[in-house]
Amino acid sequence: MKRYLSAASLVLALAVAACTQAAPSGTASPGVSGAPSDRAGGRVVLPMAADPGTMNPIFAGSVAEVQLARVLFNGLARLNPETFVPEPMLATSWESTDDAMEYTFHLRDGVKWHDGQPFTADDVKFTMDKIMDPELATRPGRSFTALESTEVVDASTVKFIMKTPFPAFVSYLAYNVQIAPKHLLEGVEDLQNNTAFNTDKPIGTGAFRLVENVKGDHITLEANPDFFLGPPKLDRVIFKLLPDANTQIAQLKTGEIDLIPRLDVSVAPSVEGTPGVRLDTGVTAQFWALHLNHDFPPFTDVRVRQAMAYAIDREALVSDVLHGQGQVAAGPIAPILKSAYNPDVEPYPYDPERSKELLEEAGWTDTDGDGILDKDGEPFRFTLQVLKGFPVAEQVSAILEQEFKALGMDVTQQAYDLASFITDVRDTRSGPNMSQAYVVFMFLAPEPDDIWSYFHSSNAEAGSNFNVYRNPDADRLLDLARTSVDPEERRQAFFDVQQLLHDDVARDFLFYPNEIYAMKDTLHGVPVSTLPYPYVEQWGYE
Amino acid sequence: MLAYAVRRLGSALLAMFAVTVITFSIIQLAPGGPAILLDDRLTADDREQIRRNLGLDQPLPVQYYLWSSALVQGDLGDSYLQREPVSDLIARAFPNTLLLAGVSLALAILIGIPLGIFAAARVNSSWDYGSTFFSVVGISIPSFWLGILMIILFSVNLRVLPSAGMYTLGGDRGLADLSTHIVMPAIVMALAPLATVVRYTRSSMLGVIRNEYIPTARAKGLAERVILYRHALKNALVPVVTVIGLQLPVFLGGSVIVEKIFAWPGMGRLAVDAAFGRDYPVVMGVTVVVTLMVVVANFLTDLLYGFLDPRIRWA
Repeated sequence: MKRYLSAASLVLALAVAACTQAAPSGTASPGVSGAPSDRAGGRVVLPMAADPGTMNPIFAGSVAEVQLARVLFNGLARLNPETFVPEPMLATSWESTDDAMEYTFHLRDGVKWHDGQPFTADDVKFTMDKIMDPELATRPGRSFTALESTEVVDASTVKFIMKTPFPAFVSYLAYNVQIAPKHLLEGVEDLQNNTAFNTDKPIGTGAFRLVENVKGDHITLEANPDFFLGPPKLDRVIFKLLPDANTQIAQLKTGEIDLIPRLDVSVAPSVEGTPGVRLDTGVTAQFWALHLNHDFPPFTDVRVRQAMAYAIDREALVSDVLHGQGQVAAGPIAPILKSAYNPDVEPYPYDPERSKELLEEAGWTDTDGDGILDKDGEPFRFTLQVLKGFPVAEQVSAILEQEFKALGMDVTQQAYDLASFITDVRDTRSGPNMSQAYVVFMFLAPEPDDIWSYFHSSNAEAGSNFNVYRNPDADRLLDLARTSVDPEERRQAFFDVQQLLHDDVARDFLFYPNEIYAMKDTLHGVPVSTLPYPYVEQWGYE
Repeated sequence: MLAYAVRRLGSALLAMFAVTVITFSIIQLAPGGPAILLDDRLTADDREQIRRNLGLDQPLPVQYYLWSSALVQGDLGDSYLQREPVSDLIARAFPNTLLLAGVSLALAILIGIPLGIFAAARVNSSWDYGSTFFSVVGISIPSFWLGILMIILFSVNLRVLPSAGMYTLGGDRGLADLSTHIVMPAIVMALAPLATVVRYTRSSMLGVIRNEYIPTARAKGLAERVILYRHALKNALVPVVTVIGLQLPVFLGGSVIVEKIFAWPGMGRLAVDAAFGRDYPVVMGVTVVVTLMVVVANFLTDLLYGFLDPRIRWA
């Protein structure tokens, strides 16, 4: 299926999943056709799991769409994949008023679209206006509810006006927005189905430009010699359609593709040790958590939630399920988000005795000797809802089931495919069939402010607060962190809310997973990031 | 003959109507919704807007009416995921599936029938047991397993065959290139039907050989080859043709697993991606085409009976 990667959201560790220069005419030895150094710069062949329905950055949603849009187009700024600090791209500098109500961006001179037309402030306003168009209901638009308007000051200056102070604006802009060309899209009646631009001939400002899109087979990009940061090292980047993850691995081993981003940790051992292939890992801002529905009766009691938190051996999960590729989590903000991470919040230790004490305190004991905890004649019973097709989710769920059973809980598993999981579990938050308990991966923007979406009570009914956590104290701290223009006050608010979410077991934080990239070992300059592929102009062969 | 064809056409249209109504209802009943509606950051308003944009806010019968009246005009609608006409998607995928199906079917028939005759002519010999063993293995091996195994052996270890796709990147996209790419998927796809054809040919031949006209032919002094191929085979083929006819829609619908493993851009993969992504227009479009294929395949099978056995009349 075509899996969707919403810019900054749940979207589980999606198993990600195409002529060019002097390649051999391919009769006998497919293995050599991916050889890199046919020409000076060489080419990189990347796998894609599905044909992109669009490469227009305003609409890009699936993994392949986002990957392509980010190589073909640029934002005003981009986030450094290691520090998450915004760096200049189409804008060279920016400043904001002290009240974080107005942001002024100075655009780079001399930038040209792939068709040779100049890039101007009008393109920026056009793109932002489309992103914010309620009729289009775009993904990036949802990060900018605080944005009032975009104004063109002059051809190389743009001003963004906020409704409320929004200190995280530049981060979100760098993360979520790539600029599309006004001169090609203005006046198009149906922008979403405009295949002439979206799939056949997208025109961006990026380091690579589209040569051909052979649907059902591959997409070829070539170096843009006029790229504003200088010509890229590689000659070509080819996206090859390979829907099956096992086939992707086979093709990496034969050298038919050069890189697999975001390799599932469960298959990493089968790639490790392949001659000529290297595994790179990197830390991320993502976290995995057990979601206990705060409105589902046994979980309404914080002591029960804490008891369950103490029952989980997180170190074992990291070593056994992640093969060590991750870090035990204490809260939603990963250590990599240095400006906001609170190192004083300790993860819950594995302490089943403490779990039993807490459950007893909460009134849960086995009175009838059937091995199941009960209270007021009701057994401690719930369903662990398991998302199938995601090995980490499946394995963690199986381990947690045993750990909860050991406490005397009556746990049963129920399996769901992605689409039914989302509607029947994630988005069924109340009523008789409300979700109960499930383990999923949380996809955060690399900006601490993003936790607002996950824990603020205003996102409980619809939005990313899936397990309906409602706490006025948390709301107040989250609002303060979101709007405060005093960096110290903002930091303190993030620190306090991390402690609160941990103590309250708002979500049961498990671990921060590492990303794993498998690539040809001569390939260099590829940052390991959750959202591929930044800095593609710097990729090259040794 | 003409009346027969008209009657068949009538029942085909009826079948088409029933199948589309049922599929239309089932996909809407399936849990989950179109993948574009699954984004967790969507507000209730966004969801409503997207549903309106897709026409999903209309009552189901109205949606079916709109879809079927467009269909009559040859319009299958636009894919939610690919955002292009479903007919374009199918027009791209169908020839690829047809090619793979044709090659696999040819393998199954050209190897399966002679092997079945061979086994029948030497019944209870070690050749016969060997072919039985081969058939059982062929029917039992899961294609995803065999596919991956073949990729590991022939692509990763021996490096003699390409692992996936239809053409080499940057190659000439010629016939030679295509042939090397089709070898593995065709073998994997042909194996189970081939084994089935072997079994049916063998048992059907054994049945026919017992008929009195065979000893009669032998008594006339005819060569064993002539007996087998001219006298026995034609009659023995009726059940075999039935089996192949029943397999046709499976072939033409595309093998989901084979197409996915070997990255073969055909109908099976299109259908499965659409089903998982709840891409309703594509699911419906593929359903229409496959239903049409089933109807045509059944009709052709029936016609073929008459040619094989003149006693069968179309009435």
